[in-house]
Amino acid sequence: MEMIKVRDLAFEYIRRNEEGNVESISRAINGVNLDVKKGDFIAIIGANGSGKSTLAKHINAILYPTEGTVWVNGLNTSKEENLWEIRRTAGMVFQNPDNQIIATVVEEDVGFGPENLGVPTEEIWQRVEDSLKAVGMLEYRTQSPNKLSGGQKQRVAIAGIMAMKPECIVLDEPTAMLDPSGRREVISTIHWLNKHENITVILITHHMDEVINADKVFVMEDGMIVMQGTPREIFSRIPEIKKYRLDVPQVTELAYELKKTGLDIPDGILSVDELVQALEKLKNS
Amino acid sequence: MIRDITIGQYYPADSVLHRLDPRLKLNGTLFFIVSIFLFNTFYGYIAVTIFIASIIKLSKVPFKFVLRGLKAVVVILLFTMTFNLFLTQGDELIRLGFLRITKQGLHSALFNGLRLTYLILGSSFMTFTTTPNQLTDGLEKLLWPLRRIKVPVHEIAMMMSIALRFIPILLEETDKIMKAQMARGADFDSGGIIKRAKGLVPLLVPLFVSAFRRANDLAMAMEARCYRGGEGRTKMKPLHYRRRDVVAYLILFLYFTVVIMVSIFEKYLPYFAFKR
Amino acid sequence: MIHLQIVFDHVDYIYGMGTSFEKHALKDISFKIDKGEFIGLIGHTGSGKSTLIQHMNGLIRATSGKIFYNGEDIYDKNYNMRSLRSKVGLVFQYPEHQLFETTVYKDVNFGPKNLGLDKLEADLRTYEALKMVGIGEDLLDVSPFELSGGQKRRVAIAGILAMRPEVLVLDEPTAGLDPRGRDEILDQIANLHKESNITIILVTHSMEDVANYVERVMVMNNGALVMDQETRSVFARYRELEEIHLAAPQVTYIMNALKEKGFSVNTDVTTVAEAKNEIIKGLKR
Repeated sequence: MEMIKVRDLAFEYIRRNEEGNVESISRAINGVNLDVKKGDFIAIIGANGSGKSTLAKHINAILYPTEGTVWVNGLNTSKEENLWEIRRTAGMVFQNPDNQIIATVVEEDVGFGPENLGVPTEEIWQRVEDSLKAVGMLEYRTQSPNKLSGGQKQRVAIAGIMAMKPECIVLDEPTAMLDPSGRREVISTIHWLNKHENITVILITHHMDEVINADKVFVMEDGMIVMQGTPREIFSRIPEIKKYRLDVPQVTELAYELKKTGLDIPDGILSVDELVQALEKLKNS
Repeated sequence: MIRDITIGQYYPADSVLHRLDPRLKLNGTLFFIVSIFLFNTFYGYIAVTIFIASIIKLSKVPFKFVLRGLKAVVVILLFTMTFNLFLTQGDELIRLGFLRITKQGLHSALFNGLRLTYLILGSSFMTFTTTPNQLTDGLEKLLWPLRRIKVPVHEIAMMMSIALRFIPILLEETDKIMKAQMARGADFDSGGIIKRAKGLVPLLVPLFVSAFRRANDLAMAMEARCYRGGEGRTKMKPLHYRRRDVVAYLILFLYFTVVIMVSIFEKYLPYFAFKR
Repeated sequence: MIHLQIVFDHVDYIYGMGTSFEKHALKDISFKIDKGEFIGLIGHTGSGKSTLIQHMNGLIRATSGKIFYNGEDIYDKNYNMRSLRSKVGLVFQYPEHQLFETTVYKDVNFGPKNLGLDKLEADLRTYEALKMVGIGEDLLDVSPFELSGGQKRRVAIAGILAMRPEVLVLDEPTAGLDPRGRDEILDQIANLHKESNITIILVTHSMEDVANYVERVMVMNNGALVMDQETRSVFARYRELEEIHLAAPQVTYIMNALKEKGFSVNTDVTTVAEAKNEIIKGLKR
């Protein structure tokens, strides 16, 4: 059963000038079709301005389609009566770690979502504890968020979403403001949640090295999906990726360059080990 | 680094006072402040001093920490006392050139000085033993009945706690912006009032822009977590009066009664005027 | 001829002395920088990089030790600290957060104006700086707040370049940018270095960027300067880097893995292009 279904989606940003008249219309999403199955880990990548963030915000009904429809667990996001159920089902983690933490104590922030849902007090405590444990932040429960690193803050934000018992988490460039170790923390946390709690994950990013373990990757440009496939399939098409102003991990690029010189190296090399193995085979042959 | 400084000087400890309901502490502080102004002789101070001394002891807050809070008001204190000392009419005690100190002046300087000190001390203990969030929760619950006359109590409390959360962040951001502009040769230190005010524009504009951006992001994040105002919300840490709060209220009333008694009967007690 | 531009001599910085927040942020830092060098400054978050660069233009004053700029002691009582700020240009992280004027032109003009230059000279420098970062004339009268993220950043950098600094220090200039934005900014910086021989100090978390652009790397750990060598030599010590929570570019790991498997390759290479050549040579040996 489709967790997320997007059909013929289009979205226009209308800019109005001071008198309220329309100044410009930009079509941020221009015909997108997308299916996400329950339990999937999918990544949506693209350069800034490709529409990936705009697409993400349709999934939890922060934005409504100008054309087309978005269904979350069968619920149409354009219908106002579905709004809160959709947002409980599809949680969202944002880019700026500080600007999504409400409370001055970690455990209170994680409890914010359940409080809004009217969950009884005792159950809130249970959910807070379980969520913090799931992201590995339980020992920081009474601390102030100001003392945490960027990666830790994002994990607290993820816990805050988990406490609402969602089925799906959308993460809009969650690592853009983090250092490399923070990025690793966050990515491994969401993979763990995907595997062990069966949470559907939709990761929006422009860092290619974060998507190598995804089930499926979608590449966006100019409001449309221009490439889709498994990470290996996508990484086999390097000239195209570069055309869309994206990056590949050094090992993938190196493999591609070597292949261009005529060496028999398989497509879509994703890790150092794979390249070493491929080169060993060549050496021994 | 700036984020380490806590607002309201909360001192974390595990004392009886820390565990009391914030509403009790809010009301208690109010009672206490009123009580200081009820009497006119030094007898009242005996009751107040006993009360405050027990508070200090019970709170487990180190006295050094308490005094640090007073440091900020030392100037106002000295100012008030000096005013009282030299400008009160009455029976002359000492004369220094054209300055005269009267008996009444000495009395009122000491009296009002003590009043001010106790005022600061009393309210400080509320903030020493209560986190800012507990205070906003307590205020929210106390003012809840005002919702009947359309006062947006929940929204005000939510605004207060969000403000508290972002104060250290905005302070740090101010520092960053200042440094960035100073790296472009901006000068925040020199010049007359008008020049300095103009000089604040490169600091205030980015700060406001940033604050609005944060507010926008935060609103989106809150909506994404199903926030829709105060209706239907439950609380993770609801406030319930416990037995110790009831006992504390009783002690409070007892103290208040004693002070009222003193203020009624003090005029019959021998008045220890300041004797040399 | 070597021209010593910046010299740090046993610099220490301790803040919050006597309080419970006391921190020894810089420990006995000594180094020399020649005019025209292109240096990378790396270190885990909290290692003191930000503090160090703020000492270079006098924003922070050292607790002990001496700092010399162009041979002059900057803590001498006759030294003009304000002139140091214009000679050592410091671009903070997310510099677009400092934009405040009503037009792009006026914002970039802020620096030269503060230097007390006459209008003609200030205008000249403003135009020059905007051209250096590739901001076209059509944007001069636009409000900086209406630009895209990447454009805003370039305007902010122009604001510092307009001061005609002799040294340009950039704190993570690519933070939050997508791959294309990152390439654009780094290429522009490299260009600047080539054409005007400005000394450049680049603070970054990306080892790939370090390998691709800088000649010398300074490594900080817990307030101390633990390595200060040319790029290749620093990355050759990748195991030590790992111990202080840093890494080497992926290429370094690939080459070392290959060497372990018996390939006859030079593990000193740090970029994809160099690696490609080395591997091809290695396969033939």
